[in-house]
Amino acid sequence: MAGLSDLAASMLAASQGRLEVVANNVSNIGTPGFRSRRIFQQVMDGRQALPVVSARQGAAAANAALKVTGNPLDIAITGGGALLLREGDRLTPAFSGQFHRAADGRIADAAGRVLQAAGGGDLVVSGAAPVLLKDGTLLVEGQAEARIGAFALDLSDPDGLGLSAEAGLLPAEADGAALHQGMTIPSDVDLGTEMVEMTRAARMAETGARVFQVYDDLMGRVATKLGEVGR
Amino acid sequence: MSGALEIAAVGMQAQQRSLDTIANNISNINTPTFKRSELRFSELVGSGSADAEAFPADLARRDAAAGVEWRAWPVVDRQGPIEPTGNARDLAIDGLGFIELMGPAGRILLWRGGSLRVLEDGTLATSGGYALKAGINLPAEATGFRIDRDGKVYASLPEPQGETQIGQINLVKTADFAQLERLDGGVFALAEDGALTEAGPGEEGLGSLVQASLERSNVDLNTEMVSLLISQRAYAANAQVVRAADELYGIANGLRR
Repeated sequence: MAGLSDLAASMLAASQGRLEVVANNVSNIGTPGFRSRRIFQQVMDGRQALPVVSARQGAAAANAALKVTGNPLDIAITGGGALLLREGDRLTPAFSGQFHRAADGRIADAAGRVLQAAGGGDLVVSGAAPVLLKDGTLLVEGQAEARIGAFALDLSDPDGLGLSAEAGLLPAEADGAALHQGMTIPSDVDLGTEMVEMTRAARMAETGARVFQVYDDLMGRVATKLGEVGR
Repeated sequence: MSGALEIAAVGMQAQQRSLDTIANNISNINTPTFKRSELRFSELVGSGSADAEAFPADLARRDAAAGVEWRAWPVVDRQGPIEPTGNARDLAIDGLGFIELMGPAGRILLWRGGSLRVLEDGTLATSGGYALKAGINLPAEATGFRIDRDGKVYASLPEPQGETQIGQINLVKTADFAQLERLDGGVFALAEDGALTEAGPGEEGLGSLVQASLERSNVDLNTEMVSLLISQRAYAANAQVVRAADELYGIANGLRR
């Protein structure tokens, strides 16, 4: 019988886990290039059959809608590749970013993450307003200076994330990826989906609570009956 | 445990700051040389992934999400339209350069142009009272001055001297606009480790000087209005998450009757 109370508790915990995923999605509704995390399964614990929430970032859309910003260093990538940004010694993938040229010529975003060149390493350009070609080549005054790396990343594979810059292990370059200058990919968060998910989490919690109440009632009744027998 | 509440609270803060920024842009739409700011969001990833060993893999990944991070970003590198005013004391820069000013305590300030003023000792200064670093002195008998596109300043003196060159205004540019700090009165200060390149107007893409004109703000009302609507809706959505989280805690609290 203890299984019932455990089930109720894990249903409540799972509903909170769902809500956390929703909260993170909704708060990133204005983040360019953000891919919403989806709750993809309820893993059942083999022995007790308890639900566990798990979430994963959505894969890159091959044909994402682009938003024109006009800023020459707003960069978006479509066609199945990802940009790599270096933050300290950690590489993070991104589909879009709003960059600026830092004083040392590196291309960094507002959070200070540095864009990586094809083949690895920080990208360096000499002019403030480079022209970006579809294949990632950056032209400064008509001269090719550097190429932005478009990497093939499988984002549904958790091992594809959390790359280390020091290890020097880079994923392969993506075929068919196209880079776009002066554009960002808007966050793919859909408010309708999130609201439905939120309601679902609330109902799940209610169900969990009801299960617990039923269990509690049963236990109370058992205790009373046993008390009668013992009298 | 209160993850959802806190993430949503951070999201609300971010949208609130976005509204503040939009309000500031719109209220300065008629301020000459004003540069609009925008809020740039990026996803905040907590340190949860570092403890991946301690948690079941899926749990650790879920905890790694920690909300949104934002930074205000002045769009300095977007030129506003230049509008003739007919007033000889107005000066605009057609390009991305800055004019250097002598600020308080010898600090160099950067200026995108605006209204000029002649101080009592004849020094050319901004309407805010900062002297131009070029140190241009207008002789007392001068009846006016002229600034050409290359930055040469001429004073109109009585005959027989006529028009005489009294100085030269140079422009500077910074390699990284992120190193500029915005101060009151339309002037910028450079971060301590920032470097400037100096050149005459018209060289190295710094732009040229246009007298009797003012640069308008680079605020576009359409963009601001759309951003305003998006921020408002996003704020409401975050508030909904707060309500749902509160509901969940209410259910949990109601378990013990």
